[in-house]
Parts: sequence; C-alpha cells; structure tokens
Amino acid sequence: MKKILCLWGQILVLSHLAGQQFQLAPPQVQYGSPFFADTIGVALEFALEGASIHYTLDGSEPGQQSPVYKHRIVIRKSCVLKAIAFHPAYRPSEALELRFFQQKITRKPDSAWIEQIPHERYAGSGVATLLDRKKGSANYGDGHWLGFDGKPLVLHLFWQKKIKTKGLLISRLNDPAAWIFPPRKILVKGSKDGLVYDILMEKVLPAPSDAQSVLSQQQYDELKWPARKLRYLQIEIQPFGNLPDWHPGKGSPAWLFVDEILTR
Amino acid sequence: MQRRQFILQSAALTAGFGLGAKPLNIYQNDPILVGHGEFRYKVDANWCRAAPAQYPVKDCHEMALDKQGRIILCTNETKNNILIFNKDGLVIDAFGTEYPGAHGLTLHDEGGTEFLYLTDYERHEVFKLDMKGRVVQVFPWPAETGKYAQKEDYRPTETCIAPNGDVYVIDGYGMDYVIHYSPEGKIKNIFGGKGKAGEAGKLNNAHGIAFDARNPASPGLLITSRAENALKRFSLDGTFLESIPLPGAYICRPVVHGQNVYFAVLISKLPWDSGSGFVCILDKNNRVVSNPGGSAPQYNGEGLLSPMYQTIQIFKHPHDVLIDPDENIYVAQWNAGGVYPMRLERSHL
Repeated sequence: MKKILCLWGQILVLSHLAGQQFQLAPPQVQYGSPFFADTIGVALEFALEGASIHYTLDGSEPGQQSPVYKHRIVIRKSCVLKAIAFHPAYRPSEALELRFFQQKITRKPDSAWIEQIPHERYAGSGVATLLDRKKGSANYGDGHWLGFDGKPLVLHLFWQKKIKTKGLLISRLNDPAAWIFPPRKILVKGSKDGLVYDILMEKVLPAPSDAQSVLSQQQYDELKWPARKLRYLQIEIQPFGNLPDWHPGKGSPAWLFVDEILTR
Repeated sequence: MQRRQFILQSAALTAGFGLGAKPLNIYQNDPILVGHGEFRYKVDANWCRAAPAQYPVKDCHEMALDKQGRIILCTNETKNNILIFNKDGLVIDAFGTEYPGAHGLTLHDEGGTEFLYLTDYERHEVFKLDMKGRVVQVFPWPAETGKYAQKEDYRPTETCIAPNGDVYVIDGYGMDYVIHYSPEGKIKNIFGGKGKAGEAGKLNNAHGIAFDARNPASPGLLITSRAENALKRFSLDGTFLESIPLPGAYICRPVVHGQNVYFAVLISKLPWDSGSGFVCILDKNNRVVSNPGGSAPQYNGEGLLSPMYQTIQIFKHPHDVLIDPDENIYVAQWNAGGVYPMRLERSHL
C-alpha cells in the first residue's frame, strides 16, 4: 500500500510539473513591411487558451509587467518590437523580435539611379525597388530584390533642396548556401554641388565563415556619420568577390542581394 | 520550492487516500491538458522505458499496433530497425538490421495472420515482413511504369493495403507517384506525380497514404501532399476527388481511427528542422477539431481555416501518430535527438 501511495505521489507531482517542462513557442505576427512612411499596423496572435502576449517597443525584454497585447499595434516611429507569450502552466516563450524603420515621405529623393543593372532574373523595377519601402520575401525572385552577380551596386540619390543626412540603412540578404554573400565594403560619399564629393562613411564587412554558411538571413547594415546637409549621395556597395575555398562554388563570383536602402 | 511542493502534495495525497478519495479526482483537477474540444490529452514524455544503450533509435519514423496491443516502431537505426513495445513502454522484441532508409510501416491482417509492410527509401524498395522480421515479399522499384529512369529516383515513404489486398505504395521522397499493386505485386496503376501547389491530381512530398472507409458508400484513399500543406482524397482507381487544405501544417501520414483522421505535423514553418511540430485531429467532415501542442483551430465564416502553428514546444518534429483502443496517442519523432515516442493520454472527461 505504501508503495502504491509513493507511486501516486510521484504521478501527482509529475502531472503538476508536467507543463512546466515545456516552453511556449513565440507569438505569431502579421504586418506589411518593416519599412514605412507614417504608421504601420502589427497584429500579434497566439491561439492558446489562458495565454497572453506581452510586448515592448523600446527593445527591452518583455515581462509580465509589460503591456498586454489586446489589439493591433500601431507603430509611428522606428523601433524594435519584442513580444513574449506567457501561460501559467508553461515556461514563457523566446522573444519574437522585429525591427521597423520609418522613412518620412519628405525624405524621398527627387531622382535616383544605379550605375550597373542587376541580373535580369533579379531586376525588380530597377532603382525604384530600392526605394519602395517593400521587403523582399524568402522567394528571391519575387521582384522585391535586386540581385547582382559579381557587380557592385552603386546608388546615386539627388534632392533639389539640401537635406540633413546622418546615416543609412541597407537591407540585404545573407545566404551563402545560395551563393549570396555580404558585401566586401560599403562606401558612402556626399556632395552639395555634385562635383566635389566627401567620404562620409566607409565600412568593411567580415567574410562569413564556413560555419555560418547554413544560415539564410535577412540582414540590416546601419551606417552612421556626423549630420551633414547635402544634395547628392553616392552609395557604393562592393560585392564580396569570388566565393572562398570552403564554398562548393569556390572561384565563382558571389551574389549581392539588396531590397531597400533608406537614408536617415 | 519544487521539493516542498512534492512533500506537500504527497502529504495531501496520503490524506486523500485516507478519506477514500479516488485517484480520478486528482486527474480531473489537472489543468495541464493539451488539445482542444473533446480531444484533450495529458502529456507523458517518458512513457517509453527502453534503455537507449540497448535499443538505440535515430529517427522514429512510423508505428503500427498489432492485435495483441503491441506497439511496433520503425527507425532508421540499423542496430534495430524494428522495436516492439508493450503498452507499458518496455521493449519486448527487436529485429531488422538492413534497412538504412526504414520509413513507412503498415500492419495488415491477412486472414488472421499479420504482416508488416516496410518502405526503405535508401534501398528503393518495399518489403513485406512477417511478425518475426522474415522477408516474405519484395516490391522492387517500378521500372516497368516507364516513369523512372533509375531506381535512385524512387524513394518510397509509405504503404496502405486495401481490403482486397491491393497494395498502394507512395513515393513521397522521390517523384510523388502512387503505385497500385495487386497482392501478388503486379502493377495495376500509377497516378499522382509531383506537381505544384494547387494542382488538383498532383502531389508535392506525398509523405503518407491511408485507406479511408469512414464513409462506407465511397471508400477511398487519403494522401498527404506535405509541402502543399494539404490532404488529398482519391478513389481507389486513382481518380482525384478533393483537396483538404491544412494551412501551416506540414502533415505526415494520415491515420484513420474511428471517424477521425490524426496526423503528426512535422513542422508548422520552414525550414524543415524548425522544431515547430504538433499533432492535428480531423473530424468525420475533415475539419480540424484539435491540435495538441498547436494553435486552436479557427474557421472563418466561409469555412476557411486560419494557418495553424505550434504553441507549446512539446514536440520538435512529430513524424507519426498511433492511436490505441483507448484513444491515447503515441507520437514518434524525426530528428529529435534520438528520443523514443511520447504518449498523449486521452482525457475522457
């Protein structure tokens, strides 16, 4: 009898702790594009009875004291959204983390052009694709990506009236398994008159190692410089060059994929 | 804290027994049931009590239940491709060392004698075994259909056996054809084949097949189109009947039990190793009624099902379900660190 009781005790404890052994999955999210002009709506969902979603918009880790998600969040400025699912019987989820970037319509350049045309299969709508506030999907041929096979992406932006600039966001892809590599170098030059250009920023990117090659990632490069008023901006994104020795396609040129470039 | 809880609960329990409380009361108060509607379960992750050193597993691919109530598991671990468990989770028999691509396991009762149909996608063949593991029939790659240039293109994942003994083999890791054999192994028909999402009579990652006689007036075949997140219905002669969309669910084989169809959902988002699986249950009208470990099924006014997803990380990559006569579910997993099947105990409250 004692033995049976002991066994039942164990079953009881197991049954009460059973839930705690499991962690929740992160909440689901729906939104249009991480790039927006005025506002953007973000819907979160987690269809589990008794669960709640807590979120923050300042990049901090949400806790149960953070706001509870009730209805669509309206985002009005660039931010980092983090959301975690909670339930009394389970361990909280990992944080869902998303970045949103605002670019007001007033920043839209009066003209823009790229020096080299992208590969015909990944040509989108040319330079407009880089400025349309649309995010490319996991289907690289969706028309929202510009793909360059071994050529640099050199973007020229022009504003009639001087505009204050202090940085740049480049949204691109990193998928070494698909021969898509980070750029070797990003060089940004600015000018007031279109004749004399100053170097505003130069960034050399690390080459991906073999171990990172399995990851397909949407990547953001954020560049900053001391604020300058200017009318011309030249953004030169140098390709990686030939694929390294560890890569199955070694010796062939790596691809460069960019879907959006925002000035800040 | 946990230690204290343990002591307190043990004490309460002892007292409870003293007062003549029934164990069932404890169970009724257990808040941690997973699933929805009438299909709710208590998770028993440690149902299986085999010793991994003695009976190792790699991917646990499929399971079958024999008439003695034994649970038969197939794994691509060639130390023991077939493990047979009693209902207490102990291994009572093990055999099979030559099936590196052991994947589909179907049991068929042939006039009182049971046989196992085992597909091997690496050997590109299907084997009929007796219950001791002796090969009694081989279904080689279907060269004579003219659809295949070489046997390597044929990677069978599953079988089902119609009441007349005809065997249907599905080439889910190859070209997605369904090959229909007579019991003797003569090819009678080939249909399906790889297609894009939305192509009616085509399949995309035809991972599983089941004979479905829930409606006795029109028995048919249920076939998985996994990459398409859909279950398709065909007649026994290979005519496409309908597609049942299961958005978000990368379903493995359909398992018909009573009026329900059960699935292991391998993942609910790409990539294939995202660890986002759950279990899905359909009613007799092929509507989702419960998703243990997944989101509550939600149909809109037009009868369209919202995308389903994992909510509780109970499973990583469920690959097959087996339903016992008490409607408990056993869940075998692919690429889950060599774990044995888990058990979901049905709550009949």
